[in-house]
Amino acid sequence: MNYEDEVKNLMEQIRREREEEESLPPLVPPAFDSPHDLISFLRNRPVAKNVETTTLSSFLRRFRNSLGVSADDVAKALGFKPQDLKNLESNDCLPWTVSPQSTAAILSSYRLHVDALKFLVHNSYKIARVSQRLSDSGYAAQVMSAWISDVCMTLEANGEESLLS
Amino acid sequence: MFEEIVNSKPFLSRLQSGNEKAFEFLYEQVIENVVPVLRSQKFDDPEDACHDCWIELSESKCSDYDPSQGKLSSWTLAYVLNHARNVQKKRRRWRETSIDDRPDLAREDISAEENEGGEQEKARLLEQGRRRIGKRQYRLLWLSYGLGIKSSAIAKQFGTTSATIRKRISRARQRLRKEIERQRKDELRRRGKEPYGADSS
Repeated sequence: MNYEDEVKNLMEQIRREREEEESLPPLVPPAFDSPHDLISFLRNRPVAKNVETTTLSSFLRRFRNSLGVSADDVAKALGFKPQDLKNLESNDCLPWTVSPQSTAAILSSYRLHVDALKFLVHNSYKIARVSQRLSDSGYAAQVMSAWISDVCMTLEANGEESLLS
Repeated sequence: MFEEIVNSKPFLSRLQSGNEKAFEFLYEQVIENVVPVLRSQKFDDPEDACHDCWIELSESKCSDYDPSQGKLSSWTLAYVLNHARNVQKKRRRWRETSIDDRPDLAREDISAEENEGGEQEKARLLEQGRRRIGKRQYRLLWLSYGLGIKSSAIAKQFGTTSATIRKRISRARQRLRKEIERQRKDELRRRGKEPYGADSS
């Protein structure tokens, strides 16, 4: 099948899937009974070292949406500023402008390994660079590296060895 | 413009040699031309899908593209559409859990044609499950079938053994089926059709 036909087929499949979806009841993920319930669920997750190819903002948003909880609820339960989570989840915000302490808290809660963080942040950097959002990409790369080091130091200080090893 | 430049041979060879400017141009064109297509198809977060694909393409240097199969612009569009569709599917996995693989959830009085792909039936089952079986049991079904987490990983989260989790999931499924069966009988009674073998008391 050539690419033009593939596109036509895909559009048709997508149209059919959309119709099916619209006839289904709305998707309702299970709400957590209490902040403690959410924390214990997150805390006991295995550490994620390998993640899909995407940006940090997209990864964090998809992860939270899969749990069916709002950014405010997560931030409230886990004790960090809602705005920090919202900034990290936003495509318009550069991850390394968010405080390393909040980022480390989010990594700890989501059980995200620092290797995964590096991979995702590097992807965010690539997108920020290609979309002309960095006035000085060399300087931004330095700031990003320093920020990742700060996040690692915070994790180490918090005794999160499993996210670093 | 998108078609002309993107489909030209010199542009392709620049991409395949990893030329940064060529990838910048590809990014701009994808955002300008593909995002509206995704939006028209009602995909959530179309920019994210384009970003993910652009990262993958810049890493692979478009090595999967075969010029004999058509234009680069069509290949790129197909690539992003496939990706966006997969992300959306993953998101809908809860509803897409196949009841065909779970005979104890499947109704006996529904033909294969009626239940094509199991979409309608499983959506109904899961919606009822949410309302009827209680949060704890629904949570287990969600973790197992909705998020696709293995019973060993769920066991770790709950601080128990895989066998216990499998038993609890099985119990939740049994209860779900019982509830659905009860509701089905009630529906038949309401319509004045007593189900065969039903207890009249």
